[in-house]
Amino acid sequence: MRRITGHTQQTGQIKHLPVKLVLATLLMFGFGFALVPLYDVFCDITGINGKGFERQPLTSNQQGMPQQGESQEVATLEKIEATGTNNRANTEAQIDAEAQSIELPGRNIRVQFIAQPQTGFTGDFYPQTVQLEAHLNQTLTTAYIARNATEHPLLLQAIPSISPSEAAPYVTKMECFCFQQQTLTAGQQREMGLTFSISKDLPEHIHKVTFSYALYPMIDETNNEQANATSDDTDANDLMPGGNRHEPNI
Amino acid sequence: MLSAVLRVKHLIGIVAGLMLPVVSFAAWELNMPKGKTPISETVYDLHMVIFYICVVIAIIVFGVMFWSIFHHRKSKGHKPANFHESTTVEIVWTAIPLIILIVMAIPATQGVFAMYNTDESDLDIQVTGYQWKWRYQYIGEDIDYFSVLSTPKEQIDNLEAKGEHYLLEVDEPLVVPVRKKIRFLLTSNDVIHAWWVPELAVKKDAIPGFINETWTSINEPGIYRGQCAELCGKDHGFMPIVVKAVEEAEYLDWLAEKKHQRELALAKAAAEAELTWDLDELMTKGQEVYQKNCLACHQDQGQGLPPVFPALKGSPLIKGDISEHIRVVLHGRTGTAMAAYSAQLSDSDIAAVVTYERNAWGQNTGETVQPSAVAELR
Amino acid sequence: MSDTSTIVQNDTQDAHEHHPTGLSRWLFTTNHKEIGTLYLIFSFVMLFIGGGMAFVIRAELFQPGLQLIDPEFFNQMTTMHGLIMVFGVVMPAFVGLANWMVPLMIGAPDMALPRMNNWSFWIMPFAFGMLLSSLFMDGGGPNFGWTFYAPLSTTYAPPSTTFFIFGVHLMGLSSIMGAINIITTIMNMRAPGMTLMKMPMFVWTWLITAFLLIAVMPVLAGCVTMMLMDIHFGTSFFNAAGGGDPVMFQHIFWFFGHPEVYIMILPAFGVVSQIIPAFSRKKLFGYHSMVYATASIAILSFVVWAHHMFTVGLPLAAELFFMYSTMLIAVPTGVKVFNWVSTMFKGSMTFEAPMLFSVAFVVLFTIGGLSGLMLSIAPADFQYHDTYFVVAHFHYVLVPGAIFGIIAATYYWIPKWSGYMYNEGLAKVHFWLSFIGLNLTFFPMHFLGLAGMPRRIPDYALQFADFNMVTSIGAFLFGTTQLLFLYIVIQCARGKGEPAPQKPWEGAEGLEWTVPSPAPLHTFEQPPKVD
Repeated sequence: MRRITGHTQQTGQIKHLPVKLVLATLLMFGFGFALVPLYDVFCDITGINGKGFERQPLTSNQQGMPQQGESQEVATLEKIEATGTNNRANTEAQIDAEAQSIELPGRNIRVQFIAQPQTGFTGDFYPQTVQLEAHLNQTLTTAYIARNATEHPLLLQAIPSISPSEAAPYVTKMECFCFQQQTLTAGQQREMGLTFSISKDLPEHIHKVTFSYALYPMIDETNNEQANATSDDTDANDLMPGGNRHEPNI
Repeated sequence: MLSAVLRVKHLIGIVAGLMLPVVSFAAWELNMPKGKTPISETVYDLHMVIFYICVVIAIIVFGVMFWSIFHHRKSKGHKPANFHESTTVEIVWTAIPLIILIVMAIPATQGVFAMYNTDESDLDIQVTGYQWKWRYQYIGEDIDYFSVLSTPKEQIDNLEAKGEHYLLEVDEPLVVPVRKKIRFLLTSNDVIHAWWVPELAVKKDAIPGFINETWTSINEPGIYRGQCAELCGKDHGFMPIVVKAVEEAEYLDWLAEKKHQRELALAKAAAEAELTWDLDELMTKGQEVYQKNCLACHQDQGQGLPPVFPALKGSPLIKGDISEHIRVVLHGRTGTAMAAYSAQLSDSDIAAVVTYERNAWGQNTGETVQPSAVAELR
Repeated sequence: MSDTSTIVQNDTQDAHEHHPTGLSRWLFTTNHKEIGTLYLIFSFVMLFIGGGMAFVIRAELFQPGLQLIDPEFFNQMTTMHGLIMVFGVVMPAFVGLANWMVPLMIGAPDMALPRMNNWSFWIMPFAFGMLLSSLFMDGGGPNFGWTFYAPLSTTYAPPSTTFFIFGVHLMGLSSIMGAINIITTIMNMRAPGMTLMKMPMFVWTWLITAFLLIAVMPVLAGCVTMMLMDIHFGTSFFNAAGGGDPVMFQHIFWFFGHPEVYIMILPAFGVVSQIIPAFSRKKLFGYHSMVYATASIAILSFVVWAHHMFTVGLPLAAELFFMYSTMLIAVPTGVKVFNWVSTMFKGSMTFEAPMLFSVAFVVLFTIGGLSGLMLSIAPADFQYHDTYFVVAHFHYVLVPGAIFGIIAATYYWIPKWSGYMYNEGLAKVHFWLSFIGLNLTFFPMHFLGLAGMPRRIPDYALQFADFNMVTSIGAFLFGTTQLLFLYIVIQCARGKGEPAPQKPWEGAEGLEWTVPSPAPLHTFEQPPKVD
């Protein structure tokens, strides 16, 4: 170190500033990671990644299957073009008027369902009903149909998205197959249930809400040689650790 | 480093390219297209207003600057003035831009509101980006198809003269009615793409796992061309968008025709699935399918572009179990660029291309795959 | 400022210290001038590597059709060109200038942390060696654009991405250490009497830049660390399948990325604020407002990041917020431009090379700034976004902004560094060829973008052919001209040319002109007095 006598500050003091700056650096590094939960909060407020609110069903239902028999009142749905993009689609869809609710049904709204089976999922995935008309504040039940076309079980994770994102905060999901990973046995076809309601506080100008589900195969190392990451962590709301990664060059 | 990638065979192409009458397509287009939708007109107007504001600011600033550059030179004996601070002046030139910006922000805000208002649409179309093609699904209609670049590879490699709509042409355009509010639901199957048609002023990112929405309403019939606007890998420059806007009656006819075609195609596929194909037939059809769907990544000699796009020739998959091979083509491979083709190709297409991949490039295994084998694995 | 100060010069030479020679002199040096030189040489080498990549890109785009390279390699070229120019050219060049000039300008004998200074330089060659080596790896180098959006850069990336990530980590580390050093030097080692508001503008802009670096480089490090974890450790920060969100990548990236843009331009503002008064023979107009404007730009840069993401589907309120905040940045930027023009106004100007480059800086940077204002209008941005209009915009800001700033600084201070005057005639030729080449390259890109040409495409539709050819010709001219710059600089370094006086520029002010030319290895051992 060279002589720096006479300069504004003395050597001893010089050491404090770098230490503070290093701390600031570490803090900002931490802040980079803190942006992840902050972003989730931001998404919840604005609905931009369109997940909506998830309310766990009172009765634990591991498979996320709709318990259609349980609904107190089954109203026939005024549905339009229920056959939709998949002529294999089951035309059944029900609206359960929420028994507990004392609120009057809100205005009419059209709800659309789209499915995005992702690369690597071997089978079919489509909504039971493509679009339906309903009232706000009503509890709606529908389902997506998934079929495993392989000869081994598949572990699947559905990722929800709601559009317009502005509507997402007004959607409450009572039951959804997206809450947890789903397992389909070899060749199995299953209806995966979805029960939700849209609040009557939905902004006036929204008349159409679209639900989208992207179905991702989770790598399961017991039956897939490509696997090097897996997660059996089926904690209902904790989607983060679900690994779907492996070397891109395999 | 460069020489390693120089494709010598293309040197011929360069020479040929230089001779092409490129200038005959001369379009020294300077400005943004005004477009054919209410939004594109709004955007165009905003663009022009802000452009003129910028021009005026530039003329004033550069005017003063060049005036002093010409007059206040030492060579002209100009003596430097002494002033170097004026709070009044600073406040003035902080306030004036601020006022201009506030004035500008008003129409811009209205524009944003208009763009975000996707409500009350007449027609909803799901647009899905794939590496490197688009898929259109008309919600509520039984219509679902892929739209792929139709420019021949020979034109891209400069072996043929380039057509008028070079790189902006597809096999099946998106067909929509005019003067109807069309809501697009955008998503992606792999990486982020962006669906952009300049004349419609529609640009929105297609994000894997999530949906985005935007809308348009086209004033007049016509063919509108666009491209993917977000870098999405190797063939980002080769996934154009073509929108064909037609009168409503024509659109309804097209819908009916499309559904009819689909039934015919299903019937044809079913009929083909019953047939037993011989090797030559499968190879001919397989080559056609391969060139359209597989060539971009796995290349013309099956050599691929390793390691992202593996070679097919001599690969364990090709040498191995046929069922596994069919499955990979049908459903893709998780976490790789290999997409699923089950929605796009018929049983006979897949049977043909699998046969082709097992017999082309001098491999000649003699194995044939019949459509029925594919149908079983769907 | 030094015009109000009497400088007590102490030129005592340090003859007592043993100084190693040869390679070890450079490997182990802790001298700020030698490290500054190393940084500048490094960035010059990188300029030609990154420029070579631009050459390849423009050669491929000379005509429609694929002629020279395949799209995969094209993407690697655009990515590496961007990464090298940003992290390998502009940033090290500015750190080099800071190393040379900050101690000289504040009257300090050296940087506050000389050993760390050595370390932060010597990390750079390794970082870029690692980055460049990825081009030769199986699967090629990074091909996902310099913005490396997930999942293209994670799930779909080539295997060499890990090297890219470590390269970014290393260069980030280097920048952070450089920034810590510069802040410590400026805060603690100013000559007696040099208060903050007497510091030269270059020192001010660097002080603010260094704070920006400390604030955002760690965020970039966090961002690439998340990528690394996604690729290798099975997390899903950016992978929708595991509950992550690819859009979050863009938020984190641009939280770093937008301040980064100002990191690349603020020191150039400082350089120009030194040069224009010197050659106008008139004090910088509005010194205080310049300082405040720089600080406001830096602060605003933290709240505008999502204007890079207007088309990703932000909520309406966010779209509006980021539009307004972005428009607001035009105000302090405008203040700076107006101040420079007022400095020139009624001056007594001469136009040596540093001044020519600075005037060009003001004109062309303003054009880039005005196109930036156009981009801030969100509805219009839906048309501009990811087109050549954006490419034109940021090249107008970075080439005549950052690069011209660096060139101007080099001509301005090279007499002090080398002890010799550069060849003024050749420098003027260099300027005019660069000016013409640059405008020929980047101006037509505005038209291409408006006409609808997306960026990062290796081949294009025929209506874009003519302007692309013009652009390529301009790029070849601009690129080749920089060889002349290399020649001029080498001539100075080799001692060819007029010996430089202590203060070669009539109107120049500041402590750096009170030491002899070339500046001896050790200066200001006794602090100068600034009143």
